[in-house]
Amino acid sequence: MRNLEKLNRRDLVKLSAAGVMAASSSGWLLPRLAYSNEGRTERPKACIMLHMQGGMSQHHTFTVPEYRAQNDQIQTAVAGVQFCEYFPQLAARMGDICLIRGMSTGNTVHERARAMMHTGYNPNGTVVYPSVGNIASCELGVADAELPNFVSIQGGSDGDGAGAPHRSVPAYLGPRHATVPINDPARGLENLRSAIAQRPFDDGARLLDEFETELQSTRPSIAGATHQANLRRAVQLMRSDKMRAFELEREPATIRNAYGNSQFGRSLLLARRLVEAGVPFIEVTLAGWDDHGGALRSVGRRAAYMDPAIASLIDDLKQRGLFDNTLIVLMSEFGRTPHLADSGYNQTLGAGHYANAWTTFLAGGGVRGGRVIGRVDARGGAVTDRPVNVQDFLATMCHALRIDYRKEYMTREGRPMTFLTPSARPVQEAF
Amino acid sequence: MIRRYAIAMLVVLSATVTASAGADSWLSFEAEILPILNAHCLQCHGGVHQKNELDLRTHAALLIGGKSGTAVVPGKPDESLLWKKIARDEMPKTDNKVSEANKKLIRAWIEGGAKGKSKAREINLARPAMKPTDVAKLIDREIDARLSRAKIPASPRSTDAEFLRRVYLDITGKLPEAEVTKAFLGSADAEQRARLIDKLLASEEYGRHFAERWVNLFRQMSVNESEWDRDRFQGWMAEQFSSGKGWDATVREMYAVSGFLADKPQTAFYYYNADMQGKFEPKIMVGNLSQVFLGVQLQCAECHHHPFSNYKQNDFWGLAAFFSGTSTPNNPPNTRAVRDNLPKQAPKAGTQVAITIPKGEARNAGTRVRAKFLGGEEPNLDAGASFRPPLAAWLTAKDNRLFARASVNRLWAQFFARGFVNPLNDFGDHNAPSHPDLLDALAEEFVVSRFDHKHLIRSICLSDAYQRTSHIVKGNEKAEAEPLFARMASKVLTPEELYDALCVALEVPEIAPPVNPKKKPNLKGPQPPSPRSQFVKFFRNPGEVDEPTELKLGVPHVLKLMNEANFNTGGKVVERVMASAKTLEETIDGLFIAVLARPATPAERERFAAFVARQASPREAYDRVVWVLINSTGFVLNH
Repeated sequence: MRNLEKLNRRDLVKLSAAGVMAASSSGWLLPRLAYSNEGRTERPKACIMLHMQGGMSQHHTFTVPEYRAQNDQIQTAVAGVQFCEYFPQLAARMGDICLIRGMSTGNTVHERARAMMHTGYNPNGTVVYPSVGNIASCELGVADAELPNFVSIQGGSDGDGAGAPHRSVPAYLGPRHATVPINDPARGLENLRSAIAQRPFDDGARLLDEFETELQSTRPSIAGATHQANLRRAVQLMRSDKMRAFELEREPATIRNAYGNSQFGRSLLLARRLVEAGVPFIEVTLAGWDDHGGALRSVGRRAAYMDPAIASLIDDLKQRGLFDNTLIVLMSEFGRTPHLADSGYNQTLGAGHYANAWTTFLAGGGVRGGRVIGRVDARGGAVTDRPVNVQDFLATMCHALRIDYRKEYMTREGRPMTFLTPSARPVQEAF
Repeated sequence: MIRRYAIAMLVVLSATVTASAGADSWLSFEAEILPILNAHCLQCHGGVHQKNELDLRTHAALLIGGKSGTAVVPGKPDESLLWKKIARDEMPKTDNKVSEANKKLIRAWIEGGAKGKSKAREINLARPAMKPTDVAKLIDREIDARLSRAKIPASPRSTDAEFLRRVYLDITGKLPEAEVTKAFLGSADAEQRARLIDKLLASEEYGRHFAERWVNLFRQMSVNESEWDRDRFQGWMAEQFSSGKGWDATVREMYAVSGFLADKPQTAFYYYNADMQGKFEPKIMVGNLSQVFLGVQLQCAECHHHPFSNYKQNDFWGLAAFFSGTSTPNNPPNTRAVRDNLPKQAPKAGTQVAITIPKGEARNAGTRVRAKFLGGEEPNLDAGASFRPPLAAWLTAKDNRLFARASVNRLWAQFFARGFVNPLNDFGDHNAPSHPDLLDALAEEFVVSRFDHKHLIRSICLSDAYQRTSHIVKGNEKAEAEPLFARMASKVLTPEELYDALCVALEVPEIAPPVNPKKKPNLKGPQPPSPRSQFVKFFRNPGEVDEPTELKLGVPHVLKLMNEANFNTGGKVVERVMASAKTLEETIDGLFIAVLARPATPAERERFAAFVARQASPREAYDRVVWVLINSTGFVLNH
């Protein structure tokens, strides 16, 4: 017998096949193993993470630098806190928002910074890290849920997104916790309808499952068990009433109008419907923020649909009593340069990449609203109070979601991994 | 949860542990104990810190101990400091305590004499290469000896059909076509397996398949997302494989290359080792070189001494120094090339070749490190010429055991789903091979055969170990049987293999992606990627390295295979089989042979026939049969 700690999922399935462990009669033994929350009684929290891909200018959104504050800022609902004038509706809801103005993340290469904000680590080519969404799928998801536990919605592309979105991978958590991508919220999950009529499809699916079971009995393998589980999940999904969560047309016109006639608005509406249906983690990506030509006009254009959409999401969740259980996170891969002094083609405010002082916000999910955490200097170039790094930021999300980010998982090779490093600390002031 | 089950398992299995702990303990430091120390102790008592002067990385260092004396008294756990500290949870001081199960192992190991690994086998590089059949016998001798020692039965020989599909996929990446399968299954030739292996190794598909696997690996290890003149690079590699060029020569040509990408396709290799912007980075190259070609995790030593092995920061940067003058122009694309920035005037004799550790995350930034071979000398380099040819020569030298062993391990894993050392890029004292003697013997054989891939593949494929069925027999279904190769493991088809298999099975030239009726085709702009590369892009997660035993497909992929029209209409195969088969049973067999490369078993024939009989239209029923087969693990796995 090898090191017993090294037993991995594959070994477990073998052992169960060998009768060492009682096999689950439902055939769901394997996927179940990867969940830790069975027996949970309270409704777990959910998260909607809005990723502003390309690098969102903090100066044209939620942290207007002092020296140019007089002309284009507006007062928010919280005394002493100003937003850029493009966001009047969110400004009115500042009482629900917790701003983190001291983001200090150190990496200004798009793909790397993007990966870090999702996984906590700079990609190193050796270890593959899961995203916070995959971790949430594992820790908050329900094993037998018909809907996926992590959905990534393409919320639109408006400008230069600087490459492909970060594609989250489940890594050591196993394929069960992979994200399900939605390319267009209006079309929902692709390939969900069979190309043929219901009855022959069902007949074929039944034959396939019998055939699989037989193949598995003589040649058990973790890959085979995973495939059969995927097949069952897919068929279950096709038949499920819960798929109605993807049908935005079921929503009354007033609600749809409030979120707005934009892909981003529809994505947030879909995100809310998914939260309602029990999906614990939804990421919406809005690409296009790599505003090297200057952020002023392009942020104005995006704000026109972002501001009402996010404000409606907050209102809508509140109305349904879901706000306190649903964490909204607005983040990016980094912010933008603070000043004209920067060299090269980044001559206008907010044109270049900047990771030393930028802004994210949290709302709902038990986060204390009306707060501003951290301060930047008058130029907006340096954090003068309460810097927050990538690990602390993700720890804060985990803390809000009641996810233990120090929990140990085993890779297939028996290497123990934790989602975040031991030095990660949540920003307690947010709660 | 996994943990909890693992612990529960221990209740069942701990009896085994206790029973086997005794004078003849099989536990060894490297195989069983070091992984535990690795997880709990080496952060403080390893390469980076040696608190209390205690180093727990090697068996020898452990016996020497630290300030408080020896850590282990063989046979006497209660007098061993290591045991006392761990048993009482005094160590580690973090919350990451050693589990009860592992404590038992440590105690049993000390009681059994606290043994280290046995002495390594002598290497003989002067002998001639053996016949492939003899290498196959050697493989079986070693594999069978380990199995019998572990009292685990081997599964019997595969059927011809099982072997045919497996060897086709492993050597060419393709499924056998229906006609090939029928001819093979109908043949009475006793030597036909050996003949088939030779035929496949002589085919163009062999080179193409291996080249694609290798460039995929480079692409997956790369930090940038680009395909650098991939078709030509892959074509060059395919030719190297097909022509039987030694692996040492191929690797040497990739590392020593200078010149334009337009002239020498292998210069693309340097771009796969470039940063996000396509700028060549010595440190990226060394990180990949060590993992892929030396099988060691040297990249940890970029920033600090390796915590779990003896690699020092100078080992990393010593290799990086060989690439210190290398650059890869990127824009415009026609300037792409690999070159070295050499001094205009001949440098003074004795000028040292060195690299400066750059500012950033690394410790000792600003230090100059001289060019040094890993585990070897600091060569006297001519500062007026490229340093890469000498490095390439060292890397691929006959006596570079790391290179030969890493190459053999990787090749073995391609056929058996796992290496002797796993992960493939983590050789070292901390991670003992499952079959150390066999690994060494095959590495030796690889060297004396002049790094001949075909020779090694032929030998592997001729072995009983490779020709075993993947079906379990009583006694080898256990987890412990897997690293001992008691039966053939199931391997996941790569996205490329899956696409090609679908084309062969459905008997269609390509799987056209579904057309979006709303989108007008752009006739003037760049042409869309080929159906095959679109398919591959959908099925492979970026940033993940292909793992033969791990299915990375998820629900969206399964939904595509189940519901796209391409996979519901039966392809050309249904028409062909229906036209030639006379009975229902024959039709089902014909479809099984075309899609799964085997006839149906009697039970399957009965089940599928009953299914077809229940359906209204035979044509649609057979379409369903094909649909069931391509969606089954019988299709998506190589077993």
